[in-house]
Amino acid sequence: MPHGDLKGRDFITIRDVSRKELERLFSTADDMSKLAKSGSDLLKKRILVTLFFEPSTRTRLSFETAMLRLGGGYTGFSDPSSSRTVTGESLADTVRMADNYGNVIVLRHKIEGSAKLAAEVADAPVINAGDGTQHHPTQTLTDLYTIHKEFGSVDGIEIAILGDLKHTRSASSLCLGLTHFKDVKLHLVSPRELRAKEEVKDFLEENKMDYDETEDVEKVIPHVDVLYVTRLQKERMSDTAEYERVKGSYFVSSKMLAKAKRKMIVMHHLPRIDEIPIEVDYTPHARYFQEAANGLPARMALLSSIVE
Amino acid sequence: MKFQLVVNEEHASDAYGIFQNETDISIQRRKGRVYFTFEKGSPSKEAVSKSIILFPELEMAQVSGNSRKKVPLTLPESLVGLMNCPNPLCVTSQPKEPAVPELRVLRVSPLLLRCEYCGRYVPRESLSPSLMEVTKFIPQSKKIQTKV
Ligand SMILES: [Zn+2]
Repeated sequence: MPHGDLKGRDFITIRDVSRKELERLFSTADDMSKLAKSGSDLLKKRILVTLFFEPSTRTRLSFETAMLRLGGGYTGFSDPSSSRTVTGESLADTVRMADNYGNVIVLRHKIEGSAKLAAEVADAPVINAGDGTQHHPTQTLTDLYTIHKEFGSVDGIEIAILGDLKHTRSASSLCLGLTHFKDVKLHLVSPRELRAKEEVKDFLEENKMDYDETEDVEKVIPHVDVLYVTRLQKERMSDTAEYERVKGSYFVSSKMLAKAKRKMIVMHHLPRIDEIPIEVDYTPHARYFQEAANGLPARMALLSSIVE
Repeated sequence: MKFQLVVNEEHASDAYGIFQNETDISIQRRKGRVYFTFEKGSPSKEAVSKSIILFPELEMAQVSGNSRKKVPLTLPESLVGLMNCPNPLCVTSQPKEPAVPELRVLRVSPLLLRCEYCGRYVPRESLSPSLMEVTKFIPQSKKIQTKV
């Protein structure tokens, strides 16, 4: 059940919580799984405000459902045109308004560092539902929880993160999150021009993470316990001919998975476009639907732990 | 004891811009180097920090008669309101948002700065005198000490 340490705290990056707090969130999420359909009144009369300046149906529905299942309510918007961009109001002022109404604020914004600013101006705890290209801590909480559930621990796993590692915030955020754990081996697999940012790699180094960079997914597949797939978009590459040439290497196929360990799992934060074909859904490796489902108990655990 | 600051010729006018509010400066040019000597007292801490950030060849010294002692280049751990973040998508770059630019000094030489808001490194090539012109309102609580 929820514990006191996180009460009133913001959740801006996955490094805002300690390993111990993460593990408590995992066990709270296990408890929450039992309430995910039946509901509870743990956050009765509490209100969540969702400020989604960038649309994200999955993340928003997951938060709103989590709040309803905890017995609370929600208000907010998910259409940026209905708010700030029309009136020209600043993000800070919108957050101050939300602060008057809610017991917790969930923010998604393309402006980098917007969640930190929101946390500065709001008294209510602020949860970052994705800002800029580095942080998406609730996705990472879900991802780490999925790995923890699958293998009993995140310690000691070997993982490959595949795709556009430069622009994908769930990938950067997962890299940061993995540094909480011991003996993790990480392979960053991407086309050269979409490699992880220096800021992220330096952080891995500072935290003594064992990692390497490669363009060859086939080389790492036989070794890994987790294959974390992200979307590779044509628009992100300067050369479309290059995209056509390399995309096959970053789109997972069941043939590719033939060499994988029996217990290897494929993860993806969804929605997917072409990077995982339906055929992979029928392999024993597919775990992205479970990962998506885990988002609900994980967010219930977080909300019940931080909302006062 | 006088404070002296040395930059390459190519940075002379940028350096002059930074010290325009300081008084009693004498300037000598020698072998492609420009010597700014502060005849009375030291320049502001803010001007010194800006020079360290902008001029990689910068040299600082204390001079007294014929003796000249180099002064190590140091920056505060955190630069609050001293310079802008060059990232246009950073929340501190949005004129309407009350986020004061704040950069963490990870390393002085070679210089490595990281924005406390967007988390990005400041690329060397983005450093320019115009980046040093902070127009944001800085609340009293965030103001930094400007004198040495
Ligand atoms: Zn920034």
